[in-house]
Amino acid sequence: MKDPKVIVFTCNWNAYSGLETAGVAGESYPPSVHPIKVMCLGRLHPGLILQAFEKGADGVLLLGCPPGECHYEFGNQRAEEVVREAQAMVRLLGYGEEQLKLEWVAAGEGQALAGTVRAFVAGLNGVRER
Amino acid sequence: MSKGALIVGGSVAGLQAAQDLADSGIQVHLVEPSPFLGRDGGTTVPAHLLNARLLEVAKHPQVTTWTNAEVVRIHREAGRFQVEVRQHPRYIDLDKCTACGDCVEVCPVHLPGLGHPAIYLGAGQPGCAAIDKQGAPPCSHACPGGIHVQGYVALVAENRFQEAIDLIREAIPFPGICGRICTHPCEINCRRAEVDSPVAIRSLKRFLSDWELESHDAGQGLAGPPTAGSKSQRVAIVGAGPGGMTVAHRLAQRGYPVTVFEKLPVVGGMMAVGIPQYRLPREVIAQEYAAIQARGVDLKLNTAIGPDGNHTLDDLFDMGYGAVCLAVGAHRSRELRIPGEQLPGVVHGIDLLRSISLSQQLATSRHRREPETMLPRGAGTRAVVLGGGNTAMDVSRSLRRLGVEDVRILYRRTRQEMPATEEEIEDAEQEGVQIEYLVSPVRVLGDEETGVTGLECLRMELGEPDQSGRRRPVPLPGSEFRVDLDLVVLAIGQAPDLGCLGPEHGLSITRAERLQVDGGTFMTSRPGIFAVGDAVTSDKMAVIEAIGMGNQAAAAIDAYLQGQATDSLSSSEAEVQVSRREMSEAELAPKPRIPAPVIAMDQRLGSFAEVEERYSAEQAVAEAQRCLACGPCSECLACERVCEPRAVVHNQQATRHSLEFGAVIATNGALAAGDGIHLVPPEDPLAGSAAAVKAMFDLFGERHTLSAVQALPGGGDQARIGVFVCQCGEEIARIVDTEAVRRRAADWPGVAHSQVLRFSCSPEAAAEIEAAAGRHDLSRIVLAACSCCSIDQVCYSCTYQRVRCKENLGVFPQLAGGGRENGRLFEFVNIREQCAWVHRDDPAAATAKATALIAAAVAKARLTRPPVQPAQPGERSALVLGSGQAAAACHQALERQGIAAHRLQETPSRIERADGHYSVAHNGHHWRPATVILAPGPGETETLVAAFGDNGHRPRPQPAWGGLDTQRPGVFCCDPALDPELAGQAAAARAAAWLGRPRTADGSIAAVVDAARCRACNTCVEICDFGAPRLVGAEPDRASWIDPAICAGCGTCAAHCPSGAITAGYSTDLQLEAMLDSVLG
Repeated sequence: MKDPKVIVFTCNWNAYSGLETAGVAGESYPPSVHPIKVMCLGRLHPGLILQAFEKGADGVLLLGCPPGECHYEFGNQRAEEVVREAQAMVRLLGYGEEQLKLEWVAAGEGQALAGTVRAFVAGLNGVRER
Repeated sequence: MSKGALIVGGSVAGLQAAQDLADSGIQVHLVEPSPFLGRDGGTTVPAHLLNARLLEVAKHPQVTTWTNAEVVRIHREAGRFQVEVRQHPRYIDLDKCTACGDCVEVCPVHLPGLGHPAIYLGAGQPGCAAIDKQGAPPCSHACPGGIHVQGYVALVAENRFQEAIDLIREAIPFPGICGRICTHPCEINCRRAEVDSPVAIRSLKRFLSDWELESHDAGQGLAGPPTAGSKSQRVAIVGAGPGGMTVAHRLAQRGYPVTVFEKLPVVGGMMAVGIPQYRLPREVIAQEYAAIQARGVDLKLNTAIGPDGNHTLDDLFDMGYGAVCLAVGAHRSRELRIPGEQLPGVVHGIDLLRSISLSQQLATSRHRREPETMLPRGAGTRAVVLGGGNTAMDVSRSLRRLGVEDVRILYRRTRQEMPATEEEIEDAEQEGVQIEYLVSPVRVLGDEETGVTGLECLRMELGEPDQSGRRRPVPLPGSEFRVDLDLVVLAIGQAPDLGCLGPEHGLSITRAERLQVDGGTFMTSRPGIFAVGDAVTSDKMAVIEAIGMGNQAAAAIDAYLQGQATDSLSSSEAEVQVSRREMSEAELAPKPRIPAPVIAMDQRLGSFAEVEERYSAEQAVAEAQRCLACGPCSECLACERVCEPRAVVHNQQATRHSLEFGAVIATNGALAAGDGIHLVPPEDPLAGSAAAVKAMFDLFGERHTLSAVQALPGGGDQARIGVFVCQCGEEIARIVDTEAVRRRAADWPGVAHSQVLRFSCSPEAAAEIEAAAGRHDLSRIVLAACSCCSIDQVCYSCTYQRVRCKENLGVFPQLAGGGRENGRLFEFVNIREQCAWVHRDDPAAATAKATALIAAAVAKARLTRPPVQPAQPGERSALVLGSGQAAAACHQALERQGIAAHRLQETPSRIERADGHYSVAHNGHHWRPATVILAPGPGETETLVAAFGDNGHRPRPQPAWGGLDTQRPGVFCCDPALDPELAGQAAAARAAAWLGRPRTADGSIAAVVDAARCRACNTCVEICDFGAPRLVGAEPDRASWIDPAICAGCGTCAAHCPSGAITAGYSTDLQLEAMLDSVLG
């Protein structure tokens, strides 16, 4: 099967620097993963997440700062609420829970980030057949 | 006029002070002795926050950063500091280095305990390479030929033989010759001698030369392509010795047709007729000369210049030569000036050596028999050689090889004063030459019939030093004695035979019978006639010195022929410091020198076969590894060669700068305590701010609040997009097919131009983009490189190069009167870390992904609108709240700076944000301060922060930079647990900085409310912890307004606005949707 299409929304801070560090270290993940950066995960609302699925994404992964490390202090907490809401919606639309996830990445943790992304993509195996 | 504040030490405290002062409107010079800011350990600030702060300070328009710099003089007078800063070279151009690390990979210098090579990328900023070069290595500095000696030794130590020989060849054309007979000033100056014995540098050169011959077909690699002939002016060289031939070689390289006239029937000058074959086989000379001739140098043997020769000097000019270089050597032997010197059986050493050499090189019977005729009794001849130089050794050892049993050297002084090299003396002794010291000849005995029969001598003792610094030999009275002999060989020095030029040559001659030349240009008293080598110096000239002179003279002749001033050549050489680097115990462990292999003694005396053999490759590497890396940079120039952006500048010089300051802050240890200097512990950001406020007192009245220039509206509604794809040298281009990406981009809607750039962070690239933007009327620029955002902020992952790129492009808001104001809208996309590097195993996929990400950026750019933000009031007012002890210190510190500061000891009922101010109400009074400082007394914190409203809005101290800042912009808090004086003053500095910060940033990250769609539901007000949104106006027009000075740009309010009235700053919903379409489409 071709690699599933994945949108990774990263915040501009810890998660983005993890993405960069992964590149510096050559910590690879499937090239079908396309990152889109927002200033903070708090900036995303369920509508945007649903749009990603509607436009053909097989999975949407949100990567942001761990609790207590949000650059804006509160954005990651709002994102948690938004993702719970969006997860309920996509389940109603027939997507599996493995297709939408929120994970935390500490600053500069490229290896952890790449591992998280790879694990997410691996969890999507078989999604396309459905 | 004062130039603001000087901060010495780029540690956390120094950085904090710099940021506070600069933000508050004061010019700052930050001087850091190391190549990197923020490298001091011991800070509790997390690395990603420190990095962002370092870049913020480095890019601050009010901060001038000096790394590799020291304050060499500081003098306070009338409240002003006169300061002299010495900027040491980094040897890296900070405008060009891309931190790719290629240089680090090729650096051959690895010191024990240093942990990195001599060129390295350190932690901290500027994130560019730096070279650890503490001066010229003593070996390289000593080489008259200008060879980077430590460089090739370091390369040999790494098995990099080709690079090593190439490096030698850049300086001299004769590595094989010098590898055998060089007097090696490098070894004499080698610091390894302090431990055991010098590195066998000459033997390493010999090894490389042999290795080169063996590893190339018949010396093919030696001969470069012909270069002579591209220029029309011709040059004549008189004499084919090392000096003349170096001039010929260099001028041929520069494109001049060169003719060399040689009187002798062989090439090489004194090297071919003075130095015996057992030291320098003639094939070596032949090979190295052939390589020069192959470059297009015409060599005419048996052609003398002078009235009795084939051409006169004047003839040469008539023949069309534009310049002449005399390199006639010193082939006339000095006389002893004692009775009997003219008797048969007294010969000159160089005549004897020439006879022997020619007999071996030329087939005619006359030449072959000549040496025999000089030995009165053949092998039974009793020979005495007078002199102590290498000629004396050469003659003696040659005589031994001709079978002469009894060879004695008589020398006036002791072995210590002997000019011959130690190796030569040892070899002569090993070969059975007797050396007697402190003996001086008085008279040669014998008559015309019998020839010489003996020598009358005197014993000497050493007296006072003479002009040469050597102790003068003084005769011992009554010590006369006689030596019986058949042959006396004079080897007491040579002079040039200028008689050959005839009486009409018109050249000035020195008292020492040498040609008078200009010290810098080597031009004689006749314009167009130059001279080098033994003909111009009265010192004993080694081959390497003649080569060095040849190099310089060639440059001068070139300048002369090009009509350039030649007098500047001599003075342009800046004084070079020799490195005297401290070495560790481990480095100084003894490691004996590997002796060069030699042939057996019976083989030596039986022939003129070369005595010394070459090292094996293993021996050469092991010997080279004895090098102590004095530089420590070896100047092998491998970094310079590999650096595509040409950022390595090995000849950077130190510079001195005289500056004046009104205030000085120094982190402890960086500067001696002095009157008026504020000392701070390096890792305490609180102390940094407290020192900053004291500097603000010192500089009272000198602050000028910045005003940023509003970016001009970007080119209207019609998006004409230019796509620029950076190759980052090969870092991106190696994986991503940038040209294919560029072609694809050219077809996308809205794209008016697409172009590939080699290094987008270079000033040249910025100029290219600007030019293309003008040519194609571009309103939006999409740059695919490593840079990732186009906004005025520094994120955790930002780098020096990204900041530089954005600065070059004028992305950051410009200060009034400085920088460009091009008003273009930028969109950046990272295709290096996110494509080329992370998918380096899959170039096709990396290219496809880069294309998709750039397409998304173009889609976003198409929808970008110029930001519209009103200018903010820049009022400087502050309110200090609370009964804590810090309040008084803070209030006083604010007032001393002329900031309208009020103090309220009770807790106000309500504090909220209004119209760019905080609105504070208490007991019917109302304050509108731009900044609020909380200084709670014990137990007062809770009630004070509660005045800001519900939980999310209450100020919470941020621990990273000393705990003063809160999440609410413009609100500071002095924790009662802190030292009240320190915290109060530090908070005053932070508040002053906040007040001075430009309020009219481009606003591209602030969220904007569409009042028409806003239902005033208060969701945004509740959700924002910064307190940026608030409801304004009266019903029915009541709506939210987001204060752009406060909005941090997270966009959370936009995500939660139930009516979709808020547009997030960095990317709108429409833009995010367009990007999703691009990458998923």
